[in-house]
Amino acid sequence: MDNQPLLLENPSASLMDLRTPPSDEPLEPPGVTEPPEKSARLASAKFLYPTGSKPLEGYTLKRGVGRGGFGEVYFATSDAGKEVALKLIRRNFDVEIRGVTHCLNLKHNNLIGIHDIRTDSLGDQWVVMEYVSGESLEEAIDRHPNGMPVDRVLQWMRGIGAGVAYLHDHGIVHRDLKPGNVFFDEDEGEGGTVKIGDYGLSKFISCSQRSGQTESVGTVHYMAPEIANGRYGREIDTYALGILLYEMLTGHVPFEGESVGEVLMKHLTAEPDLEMLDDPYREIVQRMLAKDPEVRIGSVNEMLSLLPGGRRVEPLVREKVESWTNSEASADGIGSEHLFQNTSVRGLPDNTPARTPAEPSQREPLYEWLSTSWNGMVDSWYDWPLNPVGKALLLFFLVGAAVVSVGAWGSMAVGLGIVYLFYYVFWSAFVQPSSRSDAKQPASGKIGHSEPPNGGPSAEAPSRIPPTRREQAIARRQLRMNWREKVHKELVAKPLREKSTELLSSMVLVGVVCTFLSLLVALALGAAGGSQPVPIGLWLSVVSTVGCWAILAISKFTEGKFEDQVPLRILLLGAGAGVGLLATGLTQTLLMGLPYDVDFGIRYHDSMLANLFDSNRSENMPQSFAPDVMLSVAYFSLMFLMLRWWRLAEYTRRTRFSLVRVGLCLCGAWIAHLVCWYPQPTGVAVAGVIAVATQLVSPWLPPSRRKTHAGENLAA
Amino acid sequence: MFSTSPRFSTSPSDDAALGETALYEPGVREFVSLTLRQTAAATRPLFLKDTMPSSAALSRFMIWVDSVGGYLVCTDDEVVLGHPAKDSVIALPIRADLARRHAILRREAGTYTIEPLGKVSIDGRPLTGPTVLGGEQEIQLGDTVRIKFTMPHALSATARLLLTSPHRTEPRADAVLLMADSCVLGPKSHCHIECRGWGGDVVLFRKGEGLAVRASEPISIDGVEVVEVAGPADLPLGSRLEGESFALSLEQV
Repeated sequence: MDNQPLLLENPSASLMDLRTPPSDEPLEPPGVTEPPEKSARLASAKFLYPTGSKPLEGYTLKRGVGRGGFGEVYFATSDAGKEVALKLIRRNFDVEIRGVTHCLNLKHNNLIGIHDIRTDSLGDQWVVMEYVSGESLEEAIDRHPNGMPVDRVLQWMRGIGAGVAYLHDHGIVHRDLKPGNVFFDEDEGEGGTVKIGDYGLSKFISCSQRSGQTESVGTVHYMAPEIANGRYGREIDTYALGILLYEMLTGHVPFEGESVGEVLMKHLTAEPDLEMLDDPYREIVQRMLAKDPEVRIGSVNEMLSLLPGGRRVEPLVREKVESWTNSEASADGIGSEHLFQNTSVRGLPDNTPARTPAEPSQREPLYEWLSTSWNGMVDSWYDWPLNPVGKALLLFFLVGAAVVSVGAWGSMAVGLGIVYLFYYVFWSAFVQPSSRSDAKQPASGKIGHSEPPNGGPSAEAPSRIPPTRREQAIARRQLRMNWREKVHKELVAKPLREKSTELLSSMVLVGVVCTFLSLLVALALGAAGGSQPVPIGLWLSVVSTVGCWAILAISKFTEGKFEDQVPLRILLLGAGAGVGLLATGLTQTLLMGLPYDVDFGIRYHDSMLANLFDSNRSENMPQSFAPDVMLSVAYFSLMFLMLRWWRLAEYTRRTRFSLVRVGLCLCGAWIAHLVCWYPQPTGVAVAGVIAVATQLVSPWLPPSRRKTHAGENLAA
Repeated sequence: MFSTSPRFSTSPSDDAALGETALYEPGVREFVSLTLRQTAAATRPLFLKDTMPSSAALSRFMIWVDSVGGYLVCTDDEVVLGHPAKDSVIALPIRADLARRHAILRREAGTYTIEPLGKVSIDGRPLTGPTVLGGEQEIQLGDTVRIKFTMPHALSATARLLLTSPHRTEPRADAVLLMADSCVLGPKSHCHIECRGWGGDVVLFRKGEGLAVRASEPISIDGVEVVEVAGPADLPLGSRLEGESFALSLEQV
């Protein structure tokens, strides 16, 4: 019953000429007895019988469904209207029909029922089977080229597993498990039933030796290595199930090759690439694909018990899970007892929660709490059964009220935000567990798991998402960290000379970029402030260039070396002080003031450290202002200390240019002036130019190379 | 070698194709090359089984595509959906808990409207009167029957109805096509009948009162190769169309 495109058909051996005509059909007119040559040629790739023919008494064929290893399968109706699938096994095929005979009276939900075996007037055998509407697993896999959702995989896997376990229990080895032999019957039961077909028929190596006609190459992908030694135990089904599980999760089979021989060789020698799988499945697949049948997971039941439970096993209900018994489990809807015949259900949860260590949250707890409650609110808003018009009106009213009353709560919110920013800087600098990992980075696409549409952790998350998700996150982070570490190692190992060359070239480049950007900014500032743009542009370009140099140099020589941020921050503090000195020096040599607009910041005397410095400063120059050495050094030091500038120049940063980072730098610079005053918007402009120029200029590892690195890492 | 019943000689155009059609069972289904409307009217007295609906205007047929599926095609501009009954005029019978005449689908100038006679909702909204269908919509009949309505091909007004609930049409079909002027079979998803693995499209379209076919590869109808220069070939009901990589049959129901 499969649709394998990879059939080794011998086109010269047309099906037509192998077939002798029915002898008992009446009124055979002379002249049409010769099979028309043309149509025989045309029909060679097609089904033997067209719609409407009745080769087997009592059944009318409707259409060809597919071609299995042993013949064609048709959809047919009996004279009374019963829909069946008819499998034609031609008599010149050396098929062990006895196998089917043994299976005739097997009954299981997950097996395609065999009603009868009949012989037609030509001596061909027809297997009368249950007709299954719905897609095959092959089609389902094709629809998900990057792996099916985990819950679907489990649904398929439980069905297949139960069916195969039943076969094994009756002493039958399927021997030809593959996606084309498994179907999903939408008509049966609640939500459909998985159905296994083609059991009892398969003898996939010996069958084709004589005819050389229809050996299905597709089968080779699911062939256990011990078949090479002529061993056909039930372990080969377990192996095939392992391949199926892998294929469902990833969208492709573990061993691919150009030829049958290559695939077989890989089955015998190659290890499957398990890195694409997440944890509970990685181990299961690994154990199912063991080369040695003695080592492999012994029974299908054991495999089923290793799969995450019939319901998601949550750490919260662990105590309850510990006391599960077989009957309770089946009452809970996990499945009938035969799913867990050999292994106690108790073994099941122990596997999963034990692997979820209490990973410290990488997010800042306050942010976490806020985003959780916000997502919860959004969810409940969507779930709220209210007329959409009413909802829209309410939302409009709420937003309107918020906008109108912004004066009342705006300042408070800004204050809270500033307090939080300080707290966050403190937290990320000293409290955050793994300092140089980007914890808030959204998870990149990962194969084989169902992710809820809204990425953030919502209030219901624990009940909706299997624990594997956290494991996946951890695995993903580890994976990312692994390739990062590798790149870092390479960076550290780079010779000093090479580093210096790279640095020099980016320093030259950054000078150009800074000058250009500074001129642009100076034009804007000058236009706003009424002062001359040229000296400001000069000042800005020199200061920002030197700032960029400092950041580039620090980043270049430290990336991958330090585990924590403290040395980096100290270095940056020094650099900031230098830049500050330079900035004052320049203003004094150029005899200029920096453009200054009261609207862009606070007044000098409002800043936190105003009293520390010279306090008799007059503010009679509202449009330009020349800060003294102390002020300048303090401001730039603070600015450089506060922000993680090195991340702008990191070789492994996520994107080459991130506007968010620029925005963060601008905010940081502005916040710095709250502590230690500096004329704004000039102070912020310096930070902005540095942020943009550094990101544009510093080298960046493109994603394609990352992939290679990650791949190499996995291979190693 | 091949045999046929004398009944086939009533259709002289089939003479050359007898070798191919011999495997059909002639006693049950009629295989005559008549046009759609005429088939309904003219053949009924001769071959009709008593289970056929009594409307002379009813014209429907099955397309059986090997390796792909069976599709019920309704060519009328007005199609009644409902529970199958022995002697009622239901173009699209669904074996489900429905009224005998549950809803009417109409096509006017390429636009479909649905008129509820029983409980019908569209995308979850209950209907009180005739409503225009457009794009992709879910029709719910009664409490449980769900049908996905699509017009897959941008250039054709033919609509496809797909039962998404576990019910079945009678005769059983993988999808129902409300055929306007043409019906496209091919490997792409915008085809009315998506046929995985096909090399090219096959277009069935109305020609006069009957059907004709155009294909991108050499085809044969009932074993007779179609001469390409002759333009679209007539495709009578009951015939079998074969290409190099596909085969399909039309069967009147």
